[in-house]
Amino acid sequence: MTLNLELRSVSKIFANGDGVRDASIQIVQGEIHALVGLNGAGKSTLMRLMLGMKTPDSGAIEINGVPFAQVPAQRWARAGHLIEYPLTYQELSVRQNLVLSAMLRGLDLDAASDACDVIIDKLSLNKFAERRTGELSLGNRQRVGLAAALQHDPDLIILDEPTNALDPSGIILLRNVLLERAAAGASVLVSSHHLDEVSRIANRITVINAGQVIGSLEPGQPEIEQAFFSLVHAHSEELQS
Amino acid sequence: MTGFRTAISAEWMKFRNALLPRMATIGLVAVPSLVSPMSTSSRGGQSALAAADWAAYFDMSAGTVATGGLFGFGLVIVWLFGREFVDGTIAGLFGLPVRLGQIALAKIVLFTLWACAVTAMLSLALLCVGAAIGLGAFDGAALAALARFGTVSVLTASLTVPFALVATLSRDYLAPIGVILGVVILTSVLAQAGLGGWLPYAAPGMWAGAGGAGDPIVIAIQLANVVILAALFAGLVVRRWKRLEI
Repeated sequence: MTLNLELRSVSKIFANGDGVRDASIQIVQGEIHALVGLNGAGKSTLMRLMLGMKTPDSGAIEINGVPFAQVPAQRWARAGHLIEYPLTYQELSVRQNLVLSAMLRGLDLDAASDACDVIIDKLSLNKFAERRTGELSLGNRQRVGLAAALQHDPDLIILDEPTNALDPSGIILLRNVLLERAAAGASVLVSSHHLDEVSRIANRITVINAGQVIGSLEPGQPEIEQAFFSLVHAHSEELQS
Repeated sequence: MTGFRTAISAEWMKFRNALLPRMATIGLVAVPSLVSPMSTSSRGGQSALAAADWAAYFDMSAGTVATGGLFGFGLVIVWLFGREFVDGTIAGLFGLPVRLGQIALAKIVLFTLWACAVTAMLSLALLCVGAAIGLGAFDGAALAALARFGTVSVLTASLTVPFALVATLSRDYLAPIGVILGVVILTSVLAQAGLGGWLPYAAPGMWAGAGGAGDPIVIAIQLANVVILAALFAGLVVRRWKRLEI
């Protein structure tokens, strides 16, 4: 088991009291790790901490055993993420957006064009490839954002609610790409509200509530929703008492 | 490719495909070119816009750019920085081998190059219009006025760099646009009150308005203040992007 990303006792508390408290989580090579929780549970904050969008108040974040602040810039060439909004510029076509994203990941123009062709095919974006993303539906923009995060064969993938706005065919295509990347040795972290979906693809499921890691669920276990709510309710009651 | 070169390529790809920079380029080149011939029609009259020769024509056009340019150039730099927040693309710019500070610097460099290109296009347009309306012989004084015009235009563009910081801090378009308006009004009031060219935002326009006349050392210091202000705020913007949290 090789650790790719680890958070140890990380806390980040906002002025309104929300945030994450004493959270520890490990993202392992070759695994899909799912974060599940209610809205406002702290999933996005955790992911933002992992990507440097926020600085923790306390605790440690390491990538491949290197403290976050010392991770070399080039390490990020092998990461892919989508947090909240897809990295798409409305004035650019789908293809231009993907080439731009690949270049920002360090690929030269030829390699970026090749990577872009492959992911356009994998996520069935051929029909829209030359269209400006400003003209696309929300679901197709999300698909382009996912393509941008996945096209360069990253070994560390962090996706916040990746199935947002996706149609069923988009969900299946995404599932296949994530399974393919994990099989190739990538570490994948996804947050989701869709317990059935994560249960189908995840190797581990971590439950978050009120900014704390409160337990885990067994992928594929029957009555997974019931198990999730049992954990959340028990923790909420514990906080109130 | 190095991070900075990649950032420049990425910013240029966005810039050349977007509508706003194109509209701003057209506006910045067309408006002074159209205002200038109108001014010559009042030649011999009482209008302050009257331009009797090439030097007066370029200095009058520099005055137009010194005020209008704050809006024209300002809108573009506010868009360059503010759009990443308004469109939500800023999240995608984290976790990259290209650092946020490099992206911010690339935006400023691209903006400066564009402002120089706009100034060159505008100078050419003014030369064509001036020749068409028959402003007479193009002598040494005319050449000096043309150089003064180019300097005023680039300095005016550099004075909009602080608005990039406002766009970054507010993460919106409205606040920086409000600040541009406020700066134009405040500069006008304070310049009239006697501060004149010691106000960086008034310095280029007043220099052109005086036809380049005045104590060369005072003028050099006043114009250097503009460059220092722009460089200071460019540094602050890059620093802010380096430490950005969302």
